Amino acid sequence: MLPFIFTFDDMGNKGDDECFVEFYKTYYLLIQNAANAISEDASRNDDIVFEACRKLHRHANILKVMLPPVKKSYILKTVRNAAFDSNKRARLIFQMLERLYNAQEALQEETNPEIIVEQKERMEYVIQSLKKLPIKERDALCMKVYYNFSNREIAKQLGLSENSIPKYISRAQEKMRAMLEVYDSDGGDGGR
Amino acid sequence: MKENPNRYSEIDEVFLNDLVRHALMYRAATLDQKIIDQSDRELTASEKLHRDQSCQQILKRIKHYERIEKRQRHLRGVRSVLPKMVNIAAAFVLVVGISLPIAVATQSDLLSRVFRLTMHEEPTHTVVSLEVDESASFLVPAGWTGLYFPSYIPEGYEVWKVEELPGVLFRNDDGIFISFDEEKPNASPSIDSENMTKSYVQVGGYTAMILQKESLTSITWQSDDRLFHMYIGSSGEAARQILIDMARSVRRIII
Repeated sequence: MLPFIFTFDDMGNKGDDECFVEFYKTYYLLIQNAANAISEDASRNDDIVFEACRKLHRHANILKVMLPPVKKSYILKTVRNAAFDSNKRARLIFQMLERLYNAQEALQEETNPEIIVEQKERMEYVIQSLKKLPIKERDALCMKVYYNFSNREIAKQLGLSENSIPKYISRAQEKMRAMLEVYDSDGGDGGR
Repeated sequence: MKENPNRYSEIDEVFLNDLVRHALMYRAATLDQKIIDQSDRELTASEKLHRDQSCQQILKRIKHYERIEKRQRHLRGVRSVLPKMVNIAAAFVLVVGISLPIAVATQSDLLSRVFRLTMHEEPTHTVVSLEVDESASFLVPAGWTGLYFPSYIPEGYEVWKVEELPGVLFRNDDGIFISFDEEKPNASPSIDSENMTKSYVQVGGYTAMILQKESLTSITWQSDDRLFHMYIGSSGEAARQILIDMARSVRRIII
C-alpha cells in the first residue's frame, strides 16, 4: 500500500496541532533562519514566521510523510511565499534579486557533486553578466524569466510604463547575448 | 535548407531566458542550502526556551485566526445564500400571486353570499340589520362574467357551458337544456315569439313574459338595469314552473 494513501485518510483536523508542534520544534531553527535571511527587517520576522506557520499547520499531516530534504525545501518555499504575501512584496522582490546577484561567496562554498564544474562556471558567468546590466533592464529581465511576471506587473514594480517593458527586456537580452558570445568564443573563460 | 531567421531568433531568446532562469534558480538553491546547513545544529538553552514559548503563541494565534475565518466563511455563506433565498421567495410570491387568482377564477366556483333581513324587537324600537344567510349562499360557476346568477338550479341539472355573453347552459341527464342569459341595458335581443303562447308573471317586482310552444318555454324579465332571458328545451306546466322558480331565484352576486 502506498504511504500517501494513509496520509489522505489521516487528513482531518484532529491531529493537526500535535503534528504541527512536533514539526515546529524539529524545524524551528530552519524557519527562523529562513525568515531572517529573507527579511532584512527583523521586526517583521515574527509576522513572516507566523504566516508561514499558519500554512504549515494547515498542511501538517501532509508534511508528516514528506522526506526530510523535501520537507526542508517546502519550509523555505513557504516562508518565502509568506514574506511575498505580506504588504512589502515589492521591496522583498528587489531584496531577493539583490541577494541572488551578490551571493558569490555562497556559490564558491558550494560543493554539490551533482552540478558539474563547467555548468557552475557558466551559471556564475550568467550572474556576473546580469550584474553588468543597467539595473532596470536587469530587473525587468529577471522578473520576466524568474518570477514570470506580466509586463504590467513589472512596470508597476519598476515604476515604468507597460509599453516600455518589452524594450527593456529586449535590450537586456541583446546585451546578455553579446556577453555570452564572448564567453563561448573564449572557451568558457569569458574574458576573465 | 531554407533559412528562417525569425524562428532561430525565437529559439535563441527562449534559450537565453532559460539560461538566466537556471542561473538564478541555481543561485537560489545554493542560498537555500546555506540556510539549511546553518540550521542543522543543536539548539542552545535560550533557543529551546524561545522555541517552546513561540510554539504555544503561534498555535494560539492560529486558533484565533481559524475562528475568525470560520465566522467569515459563515457570513460569506449567509451573504451568498440570502440573495438567492430572497429571489426564490420573491419568485414564489410572484407565482402564487399570479397563479392563485387565475386558479380561483379558472378552476373553482365562487360562493356568492346572500343577506337576510333580521329584526330584533326592543320595548321601544326595533333593530333591523342584514346578516349573511349561510344556508342561502349559492355557487357561481367559474368564468361567469355577469352580475346576477340563479341561486336555484333544478335537481338533475348541472352547469354544462359558460359563455362570455354572459350566458350559461345547464343540462340534465335526459339532455334537456336550460339557458340563462344576462343582457346589458343597451342590448336588444330578438326573441322567437312566432306561434307561441304568451303569459305574464311577477318576478322580483317586475313583470316577466313567458312564451311557450312545443318543446320550448322561455321567460324574459328585468331587474334594475339588467335584462334576463331564460329558456328550457321542453314545454308544459312543469317546464314553466321550473323557469319561474329559477327566475325568482336570480340574485346579485356578492362575494
